Amino acid sequence: MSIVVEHLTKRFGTPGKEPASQLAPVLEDVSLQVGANEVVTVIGPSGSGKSTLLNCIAGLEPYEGSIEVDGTPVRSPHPAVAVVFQSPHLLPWRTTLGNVEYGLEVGRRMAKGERRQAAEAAIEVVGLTGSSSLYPRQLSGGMQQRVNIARALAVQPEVLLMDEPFGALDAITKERLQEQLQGIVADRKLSVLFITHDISEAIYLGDRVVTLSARPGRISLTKVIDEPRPRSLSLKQSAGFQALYGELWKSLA
Amino acid sequence: MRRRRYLLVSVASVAAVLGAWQVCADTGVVQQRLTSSPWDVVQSARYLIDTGQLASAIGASAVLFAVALGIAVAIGGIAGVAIGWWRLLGAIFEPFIAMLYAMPLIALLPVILVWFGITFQAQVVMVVLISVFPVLVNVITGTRNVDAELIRLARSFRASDTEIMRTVVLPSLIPYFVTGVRLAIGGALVGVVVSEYFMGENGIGGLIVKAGDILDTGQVFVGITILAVVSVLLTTLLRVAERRLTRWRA
Repeated sequence: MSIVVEHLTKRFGTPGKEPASQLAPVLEDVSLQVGANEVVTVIGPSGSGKSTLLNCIAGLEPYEGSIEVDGTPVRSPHPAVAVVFQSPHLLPWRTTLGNVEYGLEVGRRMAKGERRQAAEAAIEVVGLTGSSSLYPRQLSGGMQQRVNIARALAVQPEVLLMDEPFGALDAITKERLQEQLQGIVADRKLSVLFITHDISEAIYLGDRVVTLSARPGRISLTKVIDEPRPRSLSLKQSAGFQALYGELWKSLA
Repeated sequence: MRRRRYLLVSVASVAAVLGAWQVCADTGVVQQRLTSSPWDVVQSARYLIDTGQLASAIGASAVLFAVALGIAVAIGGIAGVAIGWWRLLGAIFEPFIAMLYAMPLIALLPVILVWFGITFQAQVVMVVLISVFPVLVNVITGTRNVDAELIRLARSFRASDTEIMRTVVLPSLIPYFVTGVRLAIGGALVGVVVSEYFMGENGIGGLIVKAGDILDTGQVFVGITILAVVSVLLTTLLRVAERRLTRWRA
């Protein structure tokens, strides 16, 4: 399943109501595509509208221009798309199992037994079996983020939109999750749009890296990362990786 | 172990006060006619039980308390969610809520008497007025404080408005609601006693007033003791319920 974004412009506020200075676009004329089973990573300085781009594709924000998921224009959240937000946003009164079941319960309204099975499978994928009955406050940051990912995976999405999902984690947990995510994406043939401010994460995970300029966000560079999958973490030490890192770093500066 | 020792000290403390009261009354340090004594209170309680007065007083107060608190919690809960959710309703009702929540509502008693007379309805209105605002105000605050990010998350999973209400808004309201109900219980007890004092002289409040009129301090203290015990009991019960309902919190 693919995402096609064409000439997307996003401004907050309504013309005529707010002063013109506040109507300046956050995103301007952004066009990008995510093909089937492709991972596109988006990097950009803060304020470049990365999260806004994701929210528009997720159908959570109105926009100007055109966004299509699987050929259908996006006006509200698409059933085959799941979002992983930056902070875990777990429902604190639900256990791990209850949280992972959430997406199956609302919107999809799956029967209880089926729901439980699907949730347990997703929990296993992220390696949290045994923590099913714990509440979010009993989980570490890394575990909470795994629950967040499991909740998205449970709905069997074909497109995953991820907004800096590993941004708040320590380096080791982060790398472990990056590696796992790669496996999941390959297994499920997912199309992924992955927002990050971490250049090496963008290169390691992306089939393509797109950089956004500072406000208004425009695409300033697109870079194909020509490395076969699955990639090992040692790729990050290679000379080619370092050269790409330097190039992307310059485009952001 | 240590907790148990402190409990023993607490029990001893209460016993000492009761003992001192009894001794002072017996030896004439204080006038027993005015102060009564623990033993005298027990005798009065026995009399009130035997004549059936106590049971009917407790029954009347309990019915008033339950009916009025039930109405207050229902109104406060439902209106609170609505007012908290729709800004326009908030703008319409909040000036009145702010005023009524801040003022001593007992001041309205004469008006209620004029409108409803000395009736059960008048008593209910008084108690509801006193106990509805803590629930209402807390639920409004809770509804406004629902995490907008959780709502966005729910929308990303295509949750309908009713599903968002059921799975996000209502659960995050529980702590606020319970706090409101706890304050409402305190308010309702005050309301019950006051409205029984002034509107009907029935129930426990009425029992206290009538006993006071004839200087039967023993019976007055029976009423006061019952109120004290009930208050402690209800507060404890609610604390247990609160812990049950919010186990997910730290």
